[in-house]
Amino acid sequence: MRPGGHGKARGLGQGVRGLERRVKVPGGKTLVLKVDCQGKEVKDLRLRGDFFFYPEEGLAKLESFLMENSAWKMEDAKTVIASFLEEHDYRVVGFAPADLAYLLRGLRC
Amino acid sequence: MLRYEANTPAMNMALDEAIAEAVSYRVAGPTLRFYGWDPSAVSIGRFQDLEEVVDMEQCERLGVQVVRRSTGGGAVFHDSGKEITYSVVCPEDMMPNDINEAYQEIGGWLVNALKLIGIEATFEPINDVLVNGKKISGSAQSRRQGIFTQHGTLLYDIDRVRMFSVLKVPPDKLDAHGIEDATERVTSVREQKKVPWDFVIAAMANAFIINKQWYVGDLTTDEMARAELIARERYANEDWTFGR
Repeated sequence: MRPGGHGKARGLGQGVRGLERRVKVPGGKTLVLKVDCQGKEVKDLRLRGDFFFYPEEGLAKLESFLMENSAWKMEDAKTVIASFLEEHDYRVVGFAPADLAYLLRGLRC
Repeated sequence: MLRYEANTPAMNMALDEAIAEAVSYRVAGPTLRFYGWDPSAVSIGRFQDLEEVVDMEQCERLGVQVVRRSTGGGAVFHDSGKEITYSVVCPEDMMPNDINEAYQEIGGWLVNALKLIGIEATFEPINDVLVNGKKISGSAQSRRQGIFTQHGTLLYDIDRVRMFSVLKVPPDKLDAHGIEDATERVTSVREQKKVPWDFVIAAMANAFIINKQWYVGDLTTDEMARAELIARERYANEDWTFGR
């Protein structure tokens, strides 16, 4: 696994900066974590890439869950993400909870 | 099974969705569809960042449209007359529950279709079909309201310069395949064997219907009307294409 764009900034204007982290999962797909920062605060995050998420509408709910629970501060984000997916019967092809936890780990604006 | 026809990008995506609705309401049976794109288009995956994977200025110069699919997966260049797209729409219980197994099953149909025209291919997980290690077909699957939809492409011919002038390939994707040049990663039916277009469509149809009861049908007026509405409201809508 190889993290890329670690802390790479995107200009969004009005005091909001974008950070991006990405991983090409071996044998899987590309997962990109896009984060909007205002000062030191995470304002929003999005997951992008060429993975599959079933049902597709569930991805927005996962993003909200990660935001509401400040997933980047979690001790064991991998287990929490896996439980969330299982609880909602969401299925992911192309990345695993561990890959997402890896991108979230130590995230700081 | 529906006869091959070409449509606009928005209409193509809307038709797959309208058929899925009709199958879910049981007003249509399981449906196989073969289709083309007019004009040429790039379809991007549901979760992709458009600017990251498509050169929009080049698309505009070449008259190539862009459409966001409802399915995940990567960006695909659908060059008019150079690739054949298929879709399979059926109740979910007709396909393996395991997503990877379902990709493998339909990938196997593609492998068999290529075999019928004398090309040896292999299925490569997650969702590709390869010939001599090069990609000739990719696919994307959706499962919604008990309905399984998979659409995918078979490259009949390639204009590599054109293809990779509209597609931006992230460097990590190249690294992952151990290659420096994305153009080396793909091949086409015509590069492997000079087979007429109609033979390829016939081979696909034959491989897809084997061991199934089938008949050739047409889209209903309801499906067409619904697809026109979905195309207008979703797939031809810039909010859908540029956002997510």
